Amino acid sequence: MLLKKLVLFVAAAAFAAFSGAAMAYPDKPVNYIIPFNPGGESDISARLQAPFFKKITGQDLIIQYQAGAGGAQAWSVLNDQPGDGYTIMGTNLPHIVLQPLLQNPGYATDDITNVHMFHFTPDALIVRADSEYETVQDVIDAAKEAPGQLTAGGSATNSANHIANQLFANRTGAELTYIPFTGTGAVIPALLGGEVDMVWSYTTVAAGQGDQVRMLAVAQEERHPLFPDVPTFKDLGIDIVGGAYRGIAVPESTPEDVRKELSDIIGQINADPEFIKQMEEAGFAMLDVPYEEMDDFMANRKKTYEDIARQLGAIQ
Amino acid sequence: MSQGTDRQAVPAARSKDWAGAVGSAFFFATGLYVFITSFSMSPMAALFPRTIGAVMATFAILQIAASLTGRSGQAVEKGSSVAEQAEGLGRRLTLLAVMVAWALLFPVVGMFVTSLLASVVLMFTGLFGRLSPFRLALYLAVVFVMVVVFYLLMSNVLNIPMPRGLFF
Amino acid sequence: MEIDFGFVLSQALSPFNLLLALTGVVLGTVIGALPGLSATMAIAVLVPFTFTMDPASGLIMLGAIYTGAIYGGAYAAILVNTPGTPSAIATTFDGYPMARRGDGDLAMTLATLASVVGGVVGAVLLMTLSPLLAQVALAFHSSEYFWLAILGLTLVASLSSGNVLKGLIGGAFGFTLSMIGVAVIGGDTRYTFGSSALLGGIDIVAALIGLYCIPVLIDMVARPDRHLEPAPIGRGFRLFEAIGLCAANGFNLVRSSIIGTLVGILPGAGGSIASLVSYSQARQASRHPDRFGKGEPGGLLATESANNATVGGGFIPTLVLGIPGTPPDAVILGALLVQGIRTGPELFTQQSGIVYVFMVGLLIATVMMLPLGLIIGRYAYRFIVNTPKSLLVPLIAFMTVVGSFAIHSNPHDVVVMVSMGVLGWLLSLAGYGPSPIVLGLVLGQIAEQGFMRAYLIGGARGNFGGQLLFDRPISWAIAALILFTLCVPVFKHFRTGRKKPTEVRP
Repeated sequence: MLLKKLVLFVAAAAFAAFSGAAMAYPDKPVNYIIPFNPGGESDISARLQAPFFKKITGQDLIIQYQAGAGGAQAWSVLNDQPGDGYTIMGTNLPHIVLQPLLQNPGYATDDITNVHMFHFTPDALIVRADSEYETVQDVIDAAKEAPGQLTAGGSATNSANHIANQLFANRTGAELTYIPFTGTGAVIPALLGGEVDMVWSYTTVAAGQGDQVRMLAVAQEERHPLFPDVPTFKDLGIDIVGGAYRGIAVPESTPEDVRKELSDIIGQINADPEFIKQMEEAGFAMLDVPYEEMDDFMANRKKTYEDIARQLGAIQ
Repeated sequence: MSQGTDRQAVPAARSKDWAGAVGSAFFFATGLYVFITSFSMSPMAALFPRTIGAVMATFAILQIAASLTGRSGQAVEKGSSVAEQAEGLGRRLTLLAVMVAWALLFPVVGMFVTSLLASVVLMFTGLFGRLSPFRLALYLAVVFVMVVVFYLLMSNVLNIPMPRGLFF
Repeated sequence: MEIDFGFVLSQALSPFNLLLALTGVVLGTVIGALPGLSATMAIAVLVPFTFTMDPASGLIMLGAIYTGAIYGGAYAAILVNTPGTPSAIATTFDGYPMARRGDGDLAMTLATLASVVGGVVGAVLLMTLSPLLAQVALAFHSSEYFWLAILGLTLVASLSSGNVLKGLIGGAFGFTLSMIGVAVIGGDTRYTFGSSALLGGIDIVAALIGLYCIPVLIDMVARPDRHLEPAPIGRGFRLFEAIGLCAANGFNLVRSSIIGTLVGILPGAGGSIASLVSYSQARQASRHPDRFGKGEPGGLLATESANNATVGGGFIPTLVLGIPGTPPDAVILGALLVQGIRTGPELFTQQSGIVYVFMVGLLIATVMMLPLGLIIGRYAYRFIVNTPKSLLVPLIAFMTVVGSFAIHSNPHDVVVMVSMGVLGWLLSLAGYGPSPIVLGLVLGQIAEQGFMRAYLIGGARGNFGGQLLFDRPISWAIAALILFTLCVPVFKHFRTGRKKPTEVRP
């Protein structure tokens, strides 16, 4: 009698454990690898996501850092990680498209299985608060008068900022001399101290700097809720929409249903009004590219970046 | 720095510095390589390699000449002579071999296992004189505990993804 | 802006916050003492815990960890000749020789005193002159960074007084190593030999661990004698002796602390430049420059006060302008943002309560370093002296491997560390020391990028000379200092040379 009960109990427990594992991903903490140093925007957005991830799944999101070579160090080993859904990694555009185009970073763009793109930091043209340039048109006029004499700072060569500068020149005919700095942070003192006339940066930077700087335009479809007075480039008749996109990728051995499940969780976090509020106050712009739409989205972005990279002379 | 560290005998002023010449030859080759390859780069990226390469190669030529004519001067900083390094050369090379193997193997074999093995080998490398069996067991236990503690500190406290490799 | 000082003090001195500061300093010191584990990492790990506290408490804990970690870097530098962070490079120059000859206890006490003095000066300047000093961060353009890096590089000449030519070659080699990877300006891939692992360049901390620590390990296993000369029993902390040395070096301490604070304000510089520049200035101002590098307490005091002063200095642009002065500041800034506190210029005006509680907390944490540091330092020293070599060797070797892996969780950094160690050992046989190489590696990118940016901007504006030097008064000052630094030893050399002709070499 006792034995029978015990057998039943064990069987029930085993069934519960088994079905639980099949039904509920995740059932243990998830390691989230950020391919950059702590303190950057990828880190901040991951930290903002973590409490919502916990709220939805009941599991912790453990943030780890594996910085190096502009993210390439981590992305080149993504597919060596266990594909059980408990190791996920942040991905960034245009990085994962441009790096394989320009160098040999140890991975190809298609090696990376993106499951969800959740926000982007729109490109923005920013000047000092006391700058003589009040509008984008002022910049265009000044640049046409003296081609190449205005300087625009940005982060690194062949980067999102460099692309924005080139796109701007293509669309408006205004030639600015692009000055590369080491990282988004290093550009700000150069702008505030008057070393460069303007910078190509992101809405997050303008949000952090408050009224020390003036944003002339943002590269979004619609105006950013935090900056209702700043026009988009499209408002001004300049067709530039872009920036640095962030998402989550998994090792390619991860099963389809886990990819799907993860994408749904991120989508739920992205839909939380409290989360949206926090992100937008920090200057991020929300975006939702779920797993099903990822292929189209990536194909589209790849085309844009490849054209520009060719024009920058970085590839033939 | 002109006298070097303790123990070091001041070399005869005009003896030829063969080791210095060989080292300088390495720097000459490196400088020349850096200089030549800079011509295939974009102008922005090429300026410094070209200058630094030329400077390094030129100075290295001068140093080779100085070394071979015995005008080399003393070693920079805590540099030591070849003769001094010959003492305990076997142990020195063992340590280097262990470090190289450690660095190359831990991603494949796993951080914990590699580190434990390497630490035990290095324990014996650094051992002078005999140990009683009790002491030996104690030392091995200490090494084991040390590896475990630091491994756990890294992986569980600092959240560093340790490579697990074949074992762990 | 009205500040309620009673409120600020009662907050900062609350038992809970004092406990946090204490814990932070101890944790930071331990983490900083382990090579490869950085203040940035310690702070990043603890950030989630601070989300459960109120913002001021969280900030106090993070600040305490930061200041403790920079101080802890001195331990590995003094006891095993390994700068765990670039800030502690110059600490090895005199700290390790002191420890080798049996003055390790004195060196640890001196490092503690100097760190406290530097930290206090930095924190006081942060509390009093922040808005004014923040302008320094903006006044420094690319050209000034270039000249500052060159000023740091002049140390190559004084470090290699035995053979300047070899020193210069080593410096050029370090410069070459700094160019490996994708060029920030130009975008070319340089000297990676097709290896994707080298795209990010040579990690400075991994190279430091290899160049300084592997030769020490090699020497340790080769000879049966002790790693460090033990201090005679019963000498205690040698606190009064150390205080006496500090008093004699009073001007040196103040100068180094101010240099440290000012360099800390510069977002593109950091603790390495601060301690190198103040070391070189201390050597130059000293009456016994020839003792530097052989265990001169003045050198140790200069570097340790300068690198802890960068903590307070780094917070100045972080809090006033929202521009992180150092990598740990960036993490702290991010943590504030996640807590929903607006950073940037608004922080000072709208959240001044939190900011002042934090500053007082940082000051208290710095002062706490004195008793804590003396005790921890003493045990660390005794531990290293008394541990048998056969246990010390695997311990240090394991630290080098796991520490260089921990920097970026990257196995490749361990390979770099060991390769640099082997290379450094081989080169030392040829009479080439590691420090000129390290200086070139640390300062190379700052110099190159500073110069190239001045070139690009000057080119756009049609005035390269003006952009680099002529229109830039701060550049004049630094360039003058460079000339002075280079000429004074030559002058002194000829003066002493006449007195002691035997010292002059062909």
